[in-house]
Amino acid sequence: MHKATALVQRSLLAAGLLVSALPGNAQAARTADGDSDPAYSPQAAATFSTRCTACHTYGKGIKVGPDLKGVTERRKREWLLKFIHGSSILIKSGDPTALALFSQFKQQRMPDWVDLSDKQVNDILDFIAIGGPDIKPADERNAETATAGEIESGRRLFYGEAPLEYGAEACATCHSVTGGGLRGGGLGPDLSDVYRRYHDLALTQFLRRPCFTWQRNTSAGPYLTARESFALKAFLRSETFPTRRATAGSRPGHPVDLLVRGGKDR
Amino acid sequence: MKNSSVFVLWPYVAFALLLAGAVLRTFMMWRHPSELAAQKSEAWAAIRGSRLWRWSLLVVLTGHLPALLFPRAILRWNSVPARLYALEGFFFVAACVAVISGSVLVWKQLGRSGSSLLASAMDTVFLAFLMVALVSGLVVAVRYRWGSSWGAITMAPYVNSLLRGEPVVDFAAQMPFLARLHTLSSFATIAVIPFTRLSTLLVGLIYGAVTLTSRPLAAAGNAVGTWLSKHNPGALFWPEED
Repeated sequence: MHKATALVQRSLLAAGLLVSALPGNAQAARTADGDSDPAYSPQAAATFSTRCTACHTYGKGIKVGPDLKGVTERRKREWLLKFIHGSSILIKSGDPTALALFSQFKQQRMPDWVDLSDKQVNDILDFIAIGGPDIKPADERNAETATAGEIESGRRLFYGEAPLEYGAEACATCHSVTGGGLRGGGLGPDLSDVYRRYHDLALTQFLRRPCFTWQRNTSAGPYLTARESFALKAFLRSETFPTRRATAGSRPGHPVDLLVRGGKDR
Repeated sequence: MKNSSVFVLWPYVAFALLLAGAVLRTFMMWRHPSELAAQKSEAWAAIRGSRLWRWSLLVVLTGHLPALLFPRAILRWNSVPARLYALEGFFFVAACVAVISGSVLVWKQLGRSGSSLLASAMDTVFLAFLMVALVSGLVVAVRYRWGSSWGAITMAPYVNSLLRGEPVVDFAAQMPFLARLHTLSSFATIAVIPFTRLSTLLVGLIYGAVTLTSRPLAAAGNAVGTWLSKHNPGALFWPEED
């Protein structure tokens, strides 16, 4: 009886491992950033999110316009570029595909995205082609799962011991954390407790925006790679919950962290 | 007036006042060069203070230049903590010395009776602005540490944008009050110079520069005049008149 139970348990474990190795599950767990996947562009993801998702889904059927999953295989790149830049021109010119879409979607025309450059449109199409909307950016990973190496990497980025990919200045130029003694600057707020104040998701969003929007064209350029953003988030978490630094990555423990700090969340 | 407008206009107004005032004072004193020397020595006596004052002020002022003009180099230097502490420590001590010796100078200035009440008053206003700039800078250094680093990415772009004539003031205008006070009082110090006895030093500089450049021109003019009188080129054109 005991042997039979053990056999069932092993079979279930093997089945579980097999299922987790299937492509579908792998897709669900995919993460990307600017370093590891050159086709994945955070800028394209942001543009896709702001310009496309109001009317289109990716793999979830028709919304206002067609589902964009597989659009780069259904249509030629050249045609897509023309259509995105000026669907009205294509419709007026009598392009059969454009006319068919126009009539299929209740004669609702897509806006002419004339302000987007060819490169921006191509980046969005590349993003769609690699299944970008299904890819979870690396910085969205919860900082609780960070390894000691990732926290150390974040520490080095914070203090400018390792340069940031896009040339942004190190956080310690203006900010400090308790663990750093006098190393951090005093202009910006102390970030020792920032992870507690913002939590993981809000801090992820916060790190995506540059600190200095006053510099012209700064907002248009890249700021941090997703990997850098995650490492910094992990370091800031380790500063907020210093007692968990030694065991970082071993297990999730946000409620425990609050107990360790002995306080209520703000 | 909006905070940002002050940061756009005030620096240009300050330098326009300095330039226009210096030129006007030069024209006013041009015909009285003998008075210039006396007024210069009076101005120097009013402002020179102790040797510590002069050197510490020079160190603090010149220390700002590389930070504002070569911010990348400063950030590279500051990337090593020991170098950052050394740089900040050195200039902090210099600023402390400047504030203490400057206070002594202001105290003496208040008890001084000059030839002109208005000039003495303007000298005091100038020293007051200078002291506000120094003290606010010192407090900023204490309250918001490592200004040489954050200043390189906040104030240096502002100053560079002013020099380019395209002011980008958003962040300068959002700085803490003490940092804004430091910036604006520094420009105020520059703006009042033409109204103080220090302007005679400026006039002296302009006078010296003009004299220096006019001397070779005058020598060349004299040489041409001598040559013309000797060779009389008019004879080539009107020989019958000889």
